[in-house]
Amino acid sequence: MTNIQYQQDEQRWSSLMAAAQHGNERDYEQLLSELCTFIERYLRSRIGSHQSLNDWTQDILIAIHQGRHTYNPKRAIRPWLFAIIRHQTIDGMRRQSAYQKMIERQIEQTTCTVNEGYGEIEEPLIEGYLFKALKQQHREVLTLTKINGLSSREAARELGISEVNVKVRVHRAIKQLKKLLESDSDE
Amino acid sequence: MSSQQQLIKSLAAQLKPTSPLMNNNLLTLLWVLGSVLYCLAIIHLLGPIRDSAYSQLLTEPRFMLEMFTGLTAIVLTSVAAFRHTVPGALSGPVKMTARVAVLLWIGLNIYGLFNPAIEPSTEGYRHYCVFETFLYALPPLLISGLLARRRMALELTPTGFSLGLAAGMIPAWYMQIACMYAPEHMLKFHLLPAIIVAVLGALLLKGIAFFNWKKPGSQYTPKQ
Repeated sequence: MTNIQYQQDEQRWSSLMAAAQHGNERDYEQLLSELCTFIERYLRSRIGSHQSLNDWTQDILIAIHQGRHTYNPKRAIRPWLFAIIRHQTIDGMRRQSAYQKMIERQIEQTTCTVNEGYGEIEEPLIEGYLFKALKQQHREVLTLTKINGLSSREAARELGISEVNVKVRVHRAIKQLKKLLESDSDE
Repeated sequence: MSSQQQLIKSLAAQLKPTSPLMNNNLLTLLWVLGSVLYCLAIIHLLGPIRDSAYSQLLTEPRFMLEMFTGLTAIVLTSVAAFRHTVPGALSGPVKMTARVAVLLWIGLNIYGLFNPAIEPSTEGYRHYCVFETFLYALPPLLISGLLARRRMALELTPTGFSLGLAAGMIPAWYMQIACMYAPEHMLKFHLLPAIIVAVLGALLLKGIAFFNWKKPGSQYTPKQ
């Protein structure tokens, strides 16, 4: 993205949001449509194509809608926008993991069978360059637990390390990912 | 029409104008001023003040430094806390400066254990200072919680903790003047309640979020 385009987007989004704060529906719709494309592209390039990408994008749009009154049109829109994107993405990952675990527990309770074969890492995730920037061990553990939905115990078995070690690695991986998202959006 | 387009149409439909938020710095200034004045008033009204405290402020530079650092820590923590309630408003340097100020204030008191700023004594001892510090901090904390509710704190725990810490530090800070001077007493009976209030602040924001908070994704139901 060129510097001029960056500035143009910044000004346009800022004025569209200011109009939205005054209740202009058309401008708001245009803003959300542009942001939707931007967010999807942003997440796809950083995290990779993922089945939950649409859900995360929608969550971010809803968060933007709920927090639109907190944007100050006198300030740049990007820091405000990226704070929401970062938070919602990380939050989405956590929620997805919790949701998958709940579904698994329910399945286990009803069928009394042990699920196996979670170990395969979803290939598209590896496309995201922020994921690539993570350490190999962090990438593995994050993909196994947060994306493939393995429990800490299952991931520990898969990786041949202790459960505590898995939890520590997950914590560090998320922290690292958050930092990468922050530094990435600051650029 | 894709689900995202539907969502966008739904969000934009019947859009209501929003009223602008009060400037962060002005809000912080009003809250700090109000809270400090309230704490000063209630501490003066409900108990004796150490007689020599004000003269010590003028004659003992290190005591003055402790008090000044404490006030700086309160102001900076409040600035950081209220900025935390608006996405992207809190910059790294402000957050770091606030943390350094708090640590410096605590550090000065820990250093005072070995080398006190003024001669420790039981003059002005308030029997219930630990409870006073805790209770006096609650109204500023609740007000800050209500103010934050109108905003959009993305990270509830750190935001609530900062708000609670700022609220708790105000009576703790003034107890240095009102109550007896002894660094150990200060750390145990004034600063510890402030930290408990900080934890309470985090729980308060979590609680508000649990009941009725504008947390992203928690309230919105798209129109069918």
